[in-house]
Amino acid sequence: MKFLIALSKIDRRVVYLLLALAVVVPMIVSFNVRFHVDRSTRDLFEAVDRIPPGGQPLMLVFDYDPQIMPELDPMATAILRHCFARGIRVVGVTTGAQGAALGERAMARAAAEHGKRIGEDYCYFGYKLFLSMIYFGENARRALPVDHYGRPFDSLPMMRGIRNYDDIPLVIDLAGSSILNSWIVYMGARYHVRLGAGVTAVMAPDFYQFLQTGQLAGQLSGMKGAAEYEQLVVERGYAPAKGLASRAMNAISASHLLLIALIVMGNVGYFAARRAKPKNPQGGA
Amino acid sequence: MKKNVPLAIVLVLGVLFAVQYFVPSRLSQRLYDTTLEWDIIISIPALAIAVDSLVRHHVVRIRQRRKGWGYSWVYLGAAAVMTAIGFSGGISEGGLFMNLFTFALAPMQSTMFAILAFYMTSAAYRAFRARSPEATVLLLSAFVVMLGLIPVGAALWRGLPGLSEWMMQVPNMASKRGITFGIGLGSAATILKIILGLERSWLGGSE
Repeated sequence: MKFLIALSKIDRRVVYLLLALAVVVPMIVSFNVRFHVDRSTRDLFEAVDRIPPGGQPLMLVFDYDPQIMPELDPMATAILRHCFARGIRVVGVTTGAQGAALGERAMARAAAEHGKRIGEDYCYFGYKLFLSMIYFGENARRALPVDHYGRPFDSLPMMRGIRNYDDIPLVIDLAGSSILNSWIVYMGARYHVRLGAGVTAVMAPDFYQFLQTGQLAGQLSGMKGAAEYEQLVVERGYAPAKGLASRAMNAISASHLLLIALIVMGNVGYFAARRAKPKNPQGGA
Repeated sequence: MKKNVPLAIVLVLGVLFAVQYFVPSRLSQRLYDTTLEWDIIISIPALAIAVDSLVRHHVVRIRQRRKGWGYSWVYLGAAAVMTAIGFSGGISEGGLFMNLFTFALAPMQSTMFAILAFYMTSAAYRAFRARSPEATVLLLSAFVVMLGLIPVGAALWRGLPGLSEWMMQVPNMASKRGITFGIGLGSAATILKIILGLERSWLGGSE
């Protein structure tokens, strides 16, 4: 009985150590696992896949900062690989100051892998005020007069003919805050922009309602969403191998199993302690 | 004057743009475009005001030797160094500014966020007990959702990911939608109160 009771009193340092091992070991000893792909991930993938190659560009918004970069950066990479492998042009932008560097790095890395040229296959406008992105719905050229590197809008060949959101078939906001709500309210409602989203796992349930109403074309939820997207990219032949998110899912699987085991042990100890507790013959509390 | 003028601006513009949204005329569109441009122009000095406010806040903390005032020096120093490097060397990829961002700030922020996982695991282990029927339902739901999220769940039972998705999309959304609906109504009421001048806390002071 004492052993069972002790299960609910494991020292927190042991818990921390077990969690560290559950995260680190699967990242080192990698194994390939197939995922169940959620409908929201599949919907977003299909929405991207339907964009004609070499035509109107997809807009990718890097609304995240380094805190949540581990979850959202793999999404950006998977979407960019899909777009570039299929020949879809991409316009990158962010409405968060810290997202500017993260977006630039993600775009440059994916573009280099696929031999894409800036200005022709992709553009990066860096940090812009959210108001500027609302104004993009009225006049793209005046909203984004220069790109991240100071080149005028008109000098970018792929931006010719882009007047406003009517010329952007899909906008995907990778967000770690409620800014996605603003995209849905302003760009979705006012300009009828077709929106997709990539959000952290904790935020995902907040946006299911917009998936159900069709205000979001699809959504990637946390690392799992990124891993599912990577799997679809590989299955359709756009990339030879899965990426970081799929490896990280092994760590997430191990940590989830550890958490479930700890909770079960805690409850076993709790019930054992309750049973061992002497009953008060007076019937008092 | 100090309060009446902002209240009048909010009342006039609030009503004007509520009407503008539903009036598809060239004049209405021009008004909207011009106002958007003004908003962008006004936002830029607002950024400078925000920086000024933050610096003042930390200077006051240092002067008054408030608890943790030493960290204010760290903030001011880091802000000054990054600003100087940004202005002198630029913010392009590969430069010192971007290297500091990538190899110092980004890992520190990611680490802070990652530490939460340890506290959450420890807290879940200690607090998640089947003390009542409601807590037991919550516990079982959490297990289904957690197992449904990972590949092992599908290996245990093929229907688990689907069940997990259903739980998140149907019962979870039923309660979530009710909350969202309440928030929406509350926001609409607050906006109306601000436009009509009944809610004045945004003006500052005790009112």
